[in-house]
Amino acid sequence: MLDQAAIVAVSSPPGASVRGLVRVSGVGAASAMSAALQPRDASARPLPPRSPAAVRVPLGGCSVPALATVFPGPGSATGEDVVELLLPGQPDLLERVVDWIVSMLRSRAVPARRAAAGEFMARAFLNGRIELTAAEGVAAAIAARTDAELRAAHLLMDGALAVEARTLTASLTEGLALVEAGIDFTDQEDVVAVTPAELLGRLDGVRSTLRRRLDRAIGLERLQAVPWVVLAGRANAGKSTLLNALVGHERAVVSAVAGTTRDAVAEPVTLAGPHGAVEALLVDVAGEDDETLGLNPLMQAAAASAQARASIVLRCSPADEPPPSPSADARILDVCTKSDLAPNDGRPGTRVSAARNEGLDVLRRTIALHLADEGATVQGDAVALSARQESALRDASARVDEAIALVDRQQSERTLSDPELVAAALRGTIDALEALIGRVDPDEVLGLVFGRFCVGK
Amino acid sequence: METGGGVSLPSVSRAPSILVIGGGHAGVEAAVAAARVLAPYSGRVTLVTMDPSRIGAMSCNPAIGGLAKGQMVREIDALGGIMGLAADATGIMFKVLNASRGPAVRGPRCQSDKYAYAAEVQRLLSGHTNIEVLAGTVDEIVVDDGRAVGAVVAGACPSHADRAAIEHNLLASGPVRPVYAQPTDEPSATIRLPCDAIVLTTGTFMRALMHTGASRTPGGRVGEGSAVGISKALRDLGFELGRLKTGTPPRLRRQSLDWERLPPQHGDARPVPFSDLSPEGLPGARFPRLRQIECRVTETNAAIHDLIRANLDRAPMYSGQIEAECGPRYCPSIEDKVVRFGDRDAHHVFLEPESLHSDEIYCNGISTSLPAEVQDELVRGMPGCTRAEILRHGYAVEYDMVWPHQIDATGMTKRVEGLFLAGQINGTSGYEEAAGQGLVAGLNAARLALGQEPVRLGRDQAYIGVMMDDLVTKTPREPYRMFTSRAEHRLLLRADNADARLTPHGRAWGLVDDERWRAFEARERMVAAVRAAVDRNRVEGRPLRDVLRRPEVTLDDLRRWLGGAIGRDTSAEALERVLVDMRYDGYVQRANAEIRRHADSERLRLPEWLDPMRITGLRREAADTLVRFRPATLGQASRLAGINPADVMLIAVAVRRGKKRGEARSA
Repeated sequence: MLDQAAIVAVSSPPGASVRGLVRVSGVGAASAMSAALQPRDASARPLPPRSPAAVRVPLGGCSVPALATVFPGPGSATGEDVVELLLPGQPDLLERVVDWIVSMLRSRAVPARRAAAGEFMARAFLNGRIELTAAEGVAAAIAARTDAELRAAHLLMDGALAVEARTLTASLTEGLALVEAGIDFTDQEDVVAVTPAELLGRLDGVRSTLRRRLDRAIGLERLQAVPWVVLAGRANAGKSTLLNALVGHERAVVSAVAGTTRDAVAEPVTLAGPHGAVEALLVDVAGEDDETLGLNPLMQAAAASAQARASIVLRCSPADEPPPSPSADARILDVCTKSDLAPNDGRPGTRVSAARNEGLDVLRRTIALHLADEGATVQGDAVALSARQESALRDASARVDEAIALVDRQQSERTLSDPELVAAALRGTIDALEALIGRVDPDEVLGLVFGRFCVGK
Repeated sequence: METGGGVSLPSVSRAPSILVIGGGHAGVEAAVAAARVLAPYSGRVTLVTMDPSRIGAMSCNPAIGGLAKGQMVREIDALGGIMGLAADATGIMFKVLNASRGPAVRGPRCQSDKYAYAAEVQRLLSGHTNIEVLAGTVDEIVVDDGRAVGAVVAGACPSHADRAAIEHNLLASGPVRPVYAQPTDEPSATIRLPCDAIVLTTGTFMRALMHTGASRTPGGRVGEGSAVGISKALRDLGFELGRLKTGTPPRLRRQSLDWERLPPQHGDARPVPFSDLSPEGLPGARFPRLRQIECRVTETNAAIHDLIRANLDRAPMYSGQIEAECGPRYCPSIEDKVVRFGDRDAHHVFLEPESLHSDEIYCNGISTSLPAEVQDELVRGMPGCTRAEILRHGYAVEYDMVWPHQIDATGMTKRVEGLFLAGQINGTSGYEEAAGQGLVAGLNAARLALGQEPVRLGRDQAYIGVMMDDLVTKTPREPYRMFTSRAEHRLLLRADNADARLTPHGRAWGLVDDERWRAFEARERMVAAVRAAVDRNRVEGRPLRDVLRRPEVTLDDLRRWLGGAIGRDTSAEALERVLVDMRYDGYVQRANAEIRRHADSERLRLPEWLDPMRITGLRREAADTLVRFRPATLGQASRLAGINPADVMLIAVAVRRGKKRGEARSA
């Protein structure tokens, strides 16, 4: 956190949206970015300060269109050079752009890494770009960011994942204690070093639990594998209102003014259907005829691409407007919104009124029925993991594999021949799980040894 | 603090001077380290101890090294300390523990002739012409404006409390010539010794009380006294003191045992020395120097355990006679073992000769404070010991210590500038732990005297660094002993690379003399040559580098594969270093990446002006913890119980912002 490296991060909220923002802050970042990005208009190199320029980001084989704005330091928000890239809001794409920037900067001898939570604000604070009067608020915000993570960790402690992680850690810590006893207390009469076979049994159990958990986890990528139900229709067709009604709480900004929804809004939902619950991602995109400045073509393109990957498109048309022409696309389900505004004119589709809470259950079941045909039934105990949790579990799983690989080849031996390597892998596994449940102190490991063995000559 | 009637030493010069109090393993390393650093500046070290003839005494088990401890001895040696040389010169049985396990967790150990060991330590001390030894007890630390400027030494008899007597005690001209305070001498005089810094190493002697059954004797070691005044002096200075307990087993007369009938325990056929300077640096340039011996093994039995249970109420730890709450778990008394592991009906007892020239046998495994007559019966119940004669009964000793959060990882107390603590006074146990702290404290005391910045060893640099960090960030419940499992970077902190890790630092700090430095450079050249040869060569069509990762590869394989690519005189140590480096390569790279990632925040200094109570947004509990522990670095702060990651972030921000503001002001 306290180094001088350039920091890079996706600065738009997580999840799918029409556009995404990638932000870079660091001394020397402006000239490096300026040199590496390809301006559409060749005369725009170097990129002009404080004015968006259309560029392409050379990502491997393809290049991605973006709007780049350079804010030279020290007059920028963080006090260092800041470059903002406005890109299509596809999460995977944004992450790849971040990776590209980090390695590009490093190749140009600018130390760079991904930013930690709250780090842009911290830089602004440290570089005196925020007034002293605001300092207290910022410090509190930094604390809140990390405290929020702690609170999340505490919440997690009561959850199924935490119970499982704690069981795993306990088993691993005990395993580690047995291995450590075979290292630190071999000169003790009473200490019987753990046999490879015994340790392997324990580690196999840990591995299969980790794998099962990861298999059932719905991470970001899996979330994207969940079928998309995209709400389509003209501006102010009531899509946002319908999304909120289906989700059951306020999410999209709802307004009577046409074109209020600028970014896509995505919400995971579980819909009860005749063949069991179905998981889906409800996606609300900008209205089709939304004519706002600047980014409209991009937004329209994103809306189109969202519709293209949708399993179902809910084509919304208000009851008081003419019905849409029939479509041959089997994915399209017509929804007649605002059914309270006009009587049923016999047009096809489900009639709903979010205002009167009418027709919503019918629509839910209809969606579920369509999706069930695609075989997207949800497993009972799937747990959505944050990216951090999932990466911790994957890390743990990789390190336990490493330990198993070491132990496996000496299964028939009486004692472990390289316990220090096994211990290193076990510690790595525990370290990874610590991210979920808190730190295991070396004293705890020693405590287990002392509790189990009569140590001391 | 003025002392009426005290005799002040005439101030010879303005040269820097360090006072080391205590002549145990911490005290002697402190004295040697300070003497080495101060020598080029004509600085002097005065070592004050109750009985100079007991300097370097092995109070308990006459053994040096072992698991994790052996690595520490190697580190002390790499930094110019004397423990490794003294052990090599006096070892009568050498054994590498964990020899069948990976190189990172092998622990060299030796049993020494305890009389030879103390004599060798005294001889090595006498090689430093700027160390003087003074018999006496320190009752007061003289503090002026928050800084230690001297000490009041009592107990030296009047006739000796003059310059002539003190000069008589100088070790410069030869072996130790202790001057004893005769019991008939009264009243004892006090002298006031001025100095630039003090290293206090009280061992088990502060307000020490020995227990054998119901009998209690003041003293920190059998036949010796107790230091009472210093305990009060520290309390008066505002230090928070605690009380710990340790113990020692009975010593038997060898002639009274059926020695030959008991199963033997042998040392290694080819002993390996601790010191990088052995054998050339040993007297006679020979290793091992002394005749090698073997030990014997016997055991307790159900009848003995019944006897112990029947007499538990007479054991001071169980009768409540001892104030200290907790003895060491890793070194339990036989009473503890019987109570805690009641299902066992036998415990091994190792019978270890303490010297080639005495018949004392150390009973490793039955540390006890039971009444003498119970000890007699206990010992005689063991096979081979039925006619055993006990030369000295086992006893427990409890003593005052200073809770170690009151020092920094430099060894200096946070309360009194210039006052350093090392060894058991910080709640540790073991000669090696004491010696490591003594070295760090002596080094930093000398640096302070010279106006140099203090130095700290990192957790990724040395076991000594792990220990210092643990001491200042944790609250010990029992005497602290080093284990390899305490070091998260164990694969980096090995006995085989202690010199590579530390000797260059030691050279820069003035701890490593030309002789050691030349030897180090020669070894490094050899290692570099082996490494280059490894990089150039292939075996079975694959790069040798890759083949060496296989665990089954031996030193002989490596030598064979390299053939003529390396010099014929290439040492086994150089080959081993390269082999071990290759073997752990992947792990070491990962560890180094981890260390680099945390390096900035780990070493970020928390400045004096930082007021925890005024750090914006910091929780009260975290602020209180900071006030109590006063961590010196952000790394230390992050390891304190009661400090969470959000707190660490806020502290870092406060420091960085404060610094920027300071820079702006000074610009």
